[in-house]
Amino acid sequence: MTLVYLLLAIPFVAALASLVMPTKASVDATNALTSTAIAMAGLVVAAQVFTGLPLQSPGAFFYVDALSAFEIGIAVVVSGAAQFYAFGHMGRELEQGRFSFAKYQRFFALLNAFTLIFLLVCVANNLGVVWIAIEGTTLATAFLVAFYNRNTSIEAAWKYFVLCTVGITLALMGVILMYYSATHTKLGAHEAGLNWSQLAETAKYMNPEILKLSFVFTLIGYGTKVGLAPLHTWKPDAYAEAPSPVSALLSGLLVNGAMYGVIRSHALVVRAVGEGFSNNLLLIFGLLSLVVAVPFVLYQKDFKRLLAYSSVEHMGIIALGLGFGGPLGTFGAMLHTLFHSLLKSSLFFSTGNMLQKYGTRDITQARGVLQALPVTGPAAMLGAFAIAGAPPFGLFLSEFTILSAGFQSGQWVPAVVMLVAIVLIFMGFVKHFSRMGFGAVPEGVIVGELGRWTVAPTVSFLTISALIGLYLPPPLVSALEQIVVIVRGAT
Amino acid sequence: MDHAKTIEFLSLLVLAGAVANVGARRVRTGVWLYALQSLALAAAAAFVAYALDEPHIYVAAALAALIKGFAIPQVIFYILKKIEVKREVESFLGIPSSLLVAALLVGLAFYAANAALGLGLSEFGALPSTLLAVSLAVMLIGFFMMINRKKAITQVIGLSVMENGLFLAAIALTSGMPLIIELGVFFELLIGAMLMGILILKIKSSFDTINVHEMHTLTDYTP
Repeated sequence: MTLVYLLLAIPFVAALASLVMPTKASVDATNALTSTAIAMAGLVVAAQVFTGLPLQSPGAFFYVDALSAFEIGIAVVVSGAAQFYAFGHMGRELEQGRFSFAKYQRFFALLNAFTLIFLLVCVANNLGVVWIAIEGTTLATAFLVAFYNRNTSIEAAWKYFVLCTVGITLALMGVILMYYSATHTKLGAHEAGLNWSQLAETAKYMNPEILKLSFVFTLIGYGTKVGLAPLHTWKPDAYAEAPSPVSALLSGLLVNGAMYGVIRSHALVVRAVGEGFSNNLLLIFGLLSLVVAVPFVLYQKDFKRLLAYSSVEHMGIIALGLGFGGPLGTFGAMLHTLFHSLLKSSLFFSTGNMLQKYGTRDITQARGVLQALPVTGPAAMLGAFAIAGAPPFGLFLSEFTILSAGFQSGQWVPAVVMLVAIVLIFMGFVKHFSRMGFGAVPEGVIVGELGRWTVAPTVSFLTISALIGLYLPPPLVSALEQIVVIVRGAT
Repeated sequence: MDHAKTIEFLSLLVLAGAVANVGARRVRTGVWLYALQSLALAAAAAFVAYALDEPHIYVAAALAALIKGFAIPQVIFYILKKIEVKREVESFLGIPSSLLVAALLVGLAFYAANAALGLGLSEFGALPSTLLAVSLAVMLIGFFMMINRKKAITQVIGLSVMENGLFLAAIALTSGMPLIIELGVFFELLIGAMLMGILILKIKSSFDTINVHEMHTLTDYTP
């Protein structure tokens, strides 16, 4: 349990320290140290939970089960990598004088604040506190999206903030209804809180009709933040306008937090009324997101917006996996979450380098990437194939798992639609990235990498996901199996 | 007087505040109406605390009065002074048709609440059962204000009205959520209002307008 407290304390200290450190080197050194410490603490917590029992603080305010531990594991690794990448990426722009050193400090303070609040989403036991923390992640990231202070970035931040706040207000209605159904059970009035550790036990007695209603509000509310269609419209703007390390965090992390809220609520409904009601809703929103993403991926001119629509697609696939249900679908959805976080942040790192190299997000103008960026160029190409679902990278495995879950449970129509959408999006990615990869490097673009900090995180995430994709380590499998039990209840 | 009657009366004042806000011609009037509405909400919460003998709801009521009735309106007034915005509310629908929509939304809310009562939302104890319908109506009206209005600052008012409706629903359905949740929610509300304020100032300085419909640079099909 001490480690869980440390996990929250370190980013807090790091946020304050980033504000007072006098030079870029000292800010970087502090954050390199703290993010490594966070990553180690987080991974140890995850390993402890996977091999033992859930951790619970005295008074049950904090509660870490396998699902929370899984999210923590992804969070500490992705946020750590994004910070290292930012030393290079944001450091370069600082040198070019695009913003002041004070802004550089604030950037890292906000990154750490975001990490802190995200970790609170994972470790809080009370679903009301989880709601507060999910709203908190929006607050922490709004200024990161608006960081460059351009017209366009402020417009994006405004859309992001307003849409997500409306969504989160609806989600609070869901939490209120959940509380109502927990206090007005089939067995009469019941003294209950919103603690997950309690709700998971009593869910089967909760008022099922109100719980279903609660899920509808929660799904639409948190779904806005996950970026499920039709409430995904903030996503392309925010991802494109935010600095690249922030785009990586939004896509690889922030959305996981909102999805986590949906999963907890889904798990309660499954316990109360069985798989069916919430699964169908997840299927509908998942399919809609997949279908909506297709044309925007095929006819895209901006490579960061392209990645944003791919994020809409992948959140749809995760929702589909949960919707197909059963042990296999749930397993696939969680596996997909892991691979998507790794690969999408790797891609935002490599395209961040492209953005700095070419000074544009225009797909038609960024030519000869393979040549211009000798390491991260090929990494971007491989990453694009990987995110589109090519083997041996992990997403192939998880998409395959989710598809087989669909076919095995006889849900032919959604499974076929998913297959078609994936193939079309694959074609879109090949088209765009092969165009950018080859061709002559435009005049004025200097060939060469942009420093080690912008290379290492990109390549290592790609390698990890390829390795795990080739051979799923048994500890990971057992962790995912524990999560399946948490989501579906012990049967 | 009967507590349930008093609470019902106060909650109807909250609803009246929302409807009046739809009809407000000036931005400042809208902010005042929001502040008054929040005070009525706080009073309703205090009576609920008394009727149910739940002391922690008093804290929620006091916070509602302080933050929604005072702090948030102050933030909005401060921004209004900073950006010297034109004083008229601009919306897509004119005021008469907007009021008509508001009336329809109230009807819809009462219909939906009745349906929900059929689902088992029935144990209100000392609380009037119209509380749920009223809170839904306030939420819907706030949402409508957000969609209907063009200026960023009046969208903030819409969102705040929506949150007042939510607060009423929280009291009606749960007789007050656990205190820690309420504290957290208020804290976020205040931070959120400040953040929105800062964003509005930024919009003003970079677009020279706070009319959100003049922000349309970000689309997918720009050449």
